[in-house]
Amino acid sequence: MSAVHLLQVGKTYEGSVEAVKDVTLTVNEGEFVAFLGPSGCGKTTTLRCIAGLEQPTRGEIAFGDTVVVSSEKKVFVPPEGRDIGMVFQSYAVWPHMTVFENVAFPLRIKKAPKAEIEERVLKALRLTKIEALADRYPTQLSGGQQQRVAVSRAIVGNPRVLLFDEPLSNLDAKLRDEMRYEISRLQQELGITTIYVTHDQSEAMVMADRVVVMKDGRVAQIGTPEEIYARPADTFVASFVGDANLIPVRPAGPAQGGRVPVEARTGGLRLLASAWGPLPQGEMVCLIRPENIQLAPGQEGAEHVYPATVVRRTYLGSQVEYELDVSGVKLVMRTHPDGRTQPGDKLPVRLEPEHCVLLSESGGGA
Amino acid sequence: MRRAPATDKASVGSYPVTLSWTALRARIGRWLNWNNIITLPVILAVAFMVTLPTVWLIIISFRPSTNVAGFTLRWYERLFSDPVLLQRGLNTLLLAAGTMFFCLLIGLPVAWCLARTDMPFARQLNAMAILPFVTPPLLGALAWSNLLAPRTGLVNILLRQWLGLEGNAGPINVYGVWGVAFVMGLYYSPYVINFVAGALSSMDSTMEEAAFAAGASGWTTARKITLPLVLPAIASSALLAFVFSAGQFTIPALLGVPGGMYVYSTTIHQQAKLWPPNLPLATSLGMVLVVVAVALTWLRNRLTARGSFVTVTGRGFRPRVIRLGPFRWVALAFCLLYMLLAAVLPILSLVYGSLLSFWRPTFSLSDFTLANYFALFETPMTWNAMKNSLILSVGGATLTMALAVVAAFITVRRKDALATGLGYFAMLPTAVPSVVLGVALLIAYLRPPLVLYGGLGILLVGYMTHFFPVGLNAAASSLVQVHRELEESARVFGANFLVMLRRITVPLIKPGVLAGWVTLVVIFMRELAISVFVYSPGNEVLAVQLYELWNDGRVTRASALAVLVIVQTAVILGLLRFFGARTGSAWKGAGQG
Repeated sequence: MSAVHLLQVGKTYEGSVEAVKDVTLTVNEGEFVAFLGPSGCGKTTTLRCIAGLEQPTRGEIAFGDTVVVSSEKKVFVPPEGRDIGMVFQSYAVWPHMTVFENVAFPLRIKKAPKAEIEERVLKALRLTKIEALADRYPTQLSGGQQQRVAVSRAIVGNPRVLLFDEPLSNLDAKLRDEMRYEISRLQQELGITTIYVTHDQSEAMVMADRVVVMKDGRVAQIGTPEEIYARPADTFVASFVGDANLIPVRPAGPAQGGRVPVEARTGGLRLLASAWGPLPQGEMVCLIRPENIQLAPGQEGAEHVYPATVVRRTYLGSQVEYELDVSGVKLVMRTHPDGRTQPGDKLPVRLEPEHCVLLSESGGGA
Repeated sequence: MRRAPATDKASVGSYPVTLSWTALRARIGRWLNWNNIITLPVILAVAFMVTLPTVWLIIISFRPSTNVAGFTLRWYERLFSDPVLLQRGLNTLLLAAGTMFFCLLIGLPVAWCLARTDMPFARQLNAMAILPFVTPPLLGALAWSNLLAPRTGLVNILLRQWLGLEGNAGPINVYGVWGVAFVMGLYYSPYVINFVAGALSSMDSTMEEAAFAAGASGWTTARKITLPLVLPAIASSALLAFVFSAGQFTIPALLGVPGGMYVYSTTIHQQAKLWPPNLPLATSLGMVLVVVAVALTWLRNRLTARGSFVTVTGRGFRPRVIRLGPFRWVALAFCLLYMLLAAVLPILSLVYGSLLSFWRPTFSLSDFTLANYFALFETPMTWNAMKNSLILSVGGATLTMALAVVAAFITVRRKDALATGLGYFAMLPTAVPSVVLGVALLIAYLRPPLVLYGGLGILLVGYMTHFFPVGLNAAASSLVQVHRELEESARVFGANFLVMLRRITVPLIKPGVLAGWVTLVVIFMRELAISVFVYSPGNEVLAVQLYELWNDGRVTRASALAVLVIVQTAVILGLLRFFGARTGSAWKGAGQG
């Protein structure tokens, strides 16, 4: 396996659709990185450039110290020369071959000895728990089983890089959870450098070591799932990853030890927010996650406690969602069901400064 | 970390470069990949095959005479001033309109019964809707002349017997515009049936249910909802029948010419077979047919492209079935009558004729003999024609499909201008009626750069030119179904382009390609309209021999040969079904003759 380096990669299609504008990043050896973003953000095109199925119009991609494509050096290694494994969105399991032959294909192309093929294919099938299906044809398999065949085929050749293109989007919710776990387990066992494209933020959060959030052909943020969730780079990332209350604010006093007093641009809410690093440039927004708003009954007047009025109450089963009016600002809060509160009730809430995060407003938002 | 893949395996990328020698070499290197090495010759071959006859067709139609260069509009003027030619133009129009009328008269009720009613045996009848293709125009025309010829037709003989009519002719005369239109209507109605039944059964019936919910009656719903939704399908298939029948040669040649009813197609043949031939007149007639076909095809595309098929969602709707009650037996009777007229009766009349030693003026089921069959097999000409037909159909189908597979690869997989251009270009021959292409081929391959006349080569090229779209449709429709990722995954897992073709693409499209191949074999076995122009003595094919036998008045012998052709077609189609291949889509565009 090897690290994957992307340097200023761009892809413009004929007819001037600029799918990828400028992507620079490094995926470390053995790391599991997820490309996350809405459809049309360029994540799949970037992956296809890494696979060699598309040729980037600008920039350079290297596996370890081998350049596989570079516009400058006029190098293009076709996909078959890159030693990769890939799982496609449609599975792309060949219907005219048995499961065994599907998985054996990469080894047969490399002209591996027969005994070795047998051994490695069976091992790959065992890893994905479908060794019993070796002699079946894909048309006789369920979607989940076909997915496992696709995964076996991707890992059987012990590739340098493993690529996943939205592999779980065609599965139902229960199977999706199961396969999520399976793929993470396999990747940890094998330690292959993995790039995983998805538009499902929970998938990216659960599986990846690091998440690359993409927007409009550019990288919006790179970081661990925790960093992305707790300290999003801008409002786009904040609202794409999880639910978010985004309050347009302006500074209302001097910053002190990372804490900044701010006031809502509409409404009378003033609160103490946290800034990670330097204060954001331009228009500022304060992010508060719904689960970080705490009920504070009987603590009116305490520090960081604000009076609020319940506007709407929605029962969600394990949780209750309140829409609150806090000094003219609408906030969504999620908490355990209590069964008593009604719209119109007064309800003090606590907004801890560490959970009120200052962000810069991204163009367009989400 | 494992060793990196060698960079010398890398090919040169497609980056803008200044034009230096190295840059030029790089560009050539970029073009010299397997993809282009295979596709370029195919594009050139298709371009040559389509362009050469088309160009000659245009040139000759403006020449004062075949071999005198120059430019004149004389022939076009004659088309619209000569009373004989004007009458023939009118005949052509009447015939096409009449055929369209019969197609709708037969096709609409049958389609509705098959798609939307609880008529018994609907599924079985659906499968039989391709039956008229088993009796192609040549055999159908022969059969209907056996049945309805004014003096000798079996139906006329029986009617005269039963009704006690005087005289030795009538009461029905198939040798006129309406007779020919009726036979052509039988032959082309499957297009209306398939299109309209398809639209009716893929229609979202919740649209009708919404009308009921809004308080509309069944009749109002049919008029206000159902009819407008399937109208594009009806119009499109009716136009198709019009275009095909306007250029159709075989049926007017067998049923129109004996009664002196000439249309454009038969006039083209007449002018080309005169001595000396009047090719400028023939080609200008052909040009008019081509222009009409192109215009109507354009109109048809506009009709179907206007988003009128929004109801076809691809979701698995069960269309609402209309309960006919006791009338479902009436519906069944109508459909069976159609089958009887379109396939059963013609075939029976051919069998009957083939078993007679001479055509007799009375109907009886005695004195049958196999003499015609023995005589056929004792004639060296039959054996020669069979050999030629076999070589041409198997060889032609193989070559056509080989070209078609590569062309399909270009049109389906490459998304560039080349692909779109080739797609349109290759489909051009569908707008050219066979008889027009026949005369154009005769002109084009009688002279350099490629003299093919006098051998089987010109027949081969002619068949390939005209039926290439059939092969392309078959190959492209099966390639479209091969998801792009199936091929990409082969590349990712180490296969180069050629290995990918061999191991993945070809095995996956094999059933569709095989179906296209068999379809072409069947079509080529019976092709007359092109063959009759470009064959030379000694190079007759089965269809030409049949036509000659009929022209010589040897009806019983011709019937025997027709039966042999039908048996052979049935065997091929049976084998096809046995091997599980599907023919349905491949038949599209096979309708000209």
